Amino acid sequence: MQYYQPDSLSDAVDRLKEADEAKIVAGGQSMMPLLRQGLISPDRLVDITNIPDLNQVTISGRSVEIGALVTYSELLETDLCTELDLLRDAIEAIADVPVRNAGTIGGGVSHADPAQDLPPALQCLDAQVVSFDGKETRRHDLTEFFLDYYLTELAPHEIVTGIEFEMPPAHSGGTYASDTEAPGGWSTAGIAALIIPDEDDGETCVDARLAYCAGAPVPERVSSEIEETLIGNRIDREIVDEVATAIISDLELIDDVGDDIEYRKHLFRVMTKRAISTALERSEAPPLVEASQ
Amino acid sequence: MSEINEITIDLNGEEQTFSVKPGVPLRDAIRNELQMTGTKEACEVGECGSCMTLIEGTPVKSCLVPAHQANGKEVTTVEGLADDDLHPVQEGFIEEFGLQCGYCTPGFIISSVALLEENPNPSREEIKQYLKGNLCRCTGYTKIFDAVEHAAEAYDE
Ligand SMILES: Cc1cc2nc3c(=O)[nH]c(=O)nc-3n(C[C@H](O)[C@H](O)[C@H](O)COP(=O)(O)OP(=O)(O)OC[C@H]3O[C@@H](n4cnc5c(N)ncnc54)[C@H](O)[C@@H]3O)c2cc1C
Ligand code: FES
Ligand code: FES
Repeated sequence: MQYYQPDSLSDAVDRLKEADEAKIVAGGQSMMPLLRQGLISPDRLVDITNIPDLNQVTISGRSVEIGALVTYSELLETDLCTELDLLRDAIEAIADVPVRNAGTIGGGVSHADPAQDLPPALQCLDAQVVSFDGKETRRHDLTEFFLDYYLTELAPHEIVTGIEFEMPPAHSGGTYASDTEAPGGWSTAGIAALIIPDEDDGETCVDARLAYCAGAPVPERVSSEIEETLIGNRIDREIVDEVATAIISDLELIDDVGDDIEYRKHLFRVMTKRAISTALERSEAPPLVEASQ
Repeated sequence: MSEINEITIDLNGEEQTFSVKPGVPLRDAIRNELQMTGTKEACEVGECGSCMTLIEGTPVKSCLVPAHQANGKEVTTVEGLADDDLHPVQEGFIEEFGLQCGYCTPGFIISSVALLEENPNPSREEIKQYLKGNLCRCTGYTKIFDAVEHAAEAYDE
């Protein structure tokens, strides 16, 4: 096996292209276990951590760009996470401090584990993944980026350079709620919610975005029909129950290790209710009330 | 490029240049090439924290970091903490009986040092959150958290 640490993006793409089976390494948090367990055996590792400019967080106006090499811990330290509860909650759900110190946001989305905690939050922010394939810069909607378990739209030599999104309005509220079997473990049910109330009347929901992980082969935005149930109304418990039930019928849970499917459905129901009511509390809309008469 | 690569790290204040194969984790390089065995190996896949190491002061699980990424950097292992006296965190583990077999101890000590450098006065909850990446199979965690609180008192002085 060969190990390269190129210091430019174009050199990295060239190194990836010229080998039979090359793999990108960023934080190594998923790559090293795969190598160690013999699940992959590339003939070349291309370590991208020396490429400059991929470790910046840039905010201009309401536009946010997060470089692929920004670690979860670095992101947690930014004002962005003070302002955006949705993003902060999702990052705090990831593993533990040392994994967050090394794991990168680009590595996270590229790895495409269906239980990855950050993608649902980014999907609620309508984020785009930016990549470079040696010729052009491509932008992928995060809702379409994931194709299947551990599979994305990226070509083998294509490098994620960052994530972009627009800040949601200040009067919106968001959160990520998840359940895990062990402290620091992977989520068995995770859901992100962003609720945007009407700015004038302060209570009618004008936009609602929900996305989940660990519920299907890919992290997924909830269907627009379900999201629309929340829109146009003042959200009450009855509506939340309706949405939680609808989401459960949307899930494609597989019978893998861990809790059984019925129990996980129950967890999704609880997490969905929790996420929507917390998002609502954090928005400028009034908190959840019983169904209106 | 040949299979064997040379890297230089500043390990516990001493510059070390040595050969390491591509893809070898930092943990194995430290233990096998530099014979520093305080950094423990156990799970291999990032779950137990017994290989915890500081790179430029930041705690990482060294079984998950390619050795090449430490090239040119400062690396601290449990062997680098004591000078003439033990480090306050080491004292805390002794005073509060924060260990039984001791296998997890170097990892816990490294994480706790990083925590107290960042936050010399952590709450119990903050200690728990910070040490989530370290597992102990025999002491249980109460004594370990007591040890960190004990050390925090020394930091305060
Ligand atoms: C013990 C443990 C527990 C964990 N628990 C959680 C958890 O609870 N929630 C969670 O979300 N995650 C969890 N993780 C996963 C962690 O978040 C990921 O390992 C991390 O996000 C991957 O980032 P990395 O930079 O380490 O990527 P690497 O391991 O370096 O790479 C991962 C994959 O992405 C590819 N890749 C990396 N960077 C790029 C890029 N810029 N462009 C294209 N491809 C790229 C690599 O080729 C590889 O296939 C856990 C990991 C460990 C070890
Ligand atoms: S050996 Fe590295 S975390 Fe277990
Ligand atoms: S003291 Fe034995 S594993 Fe912790």
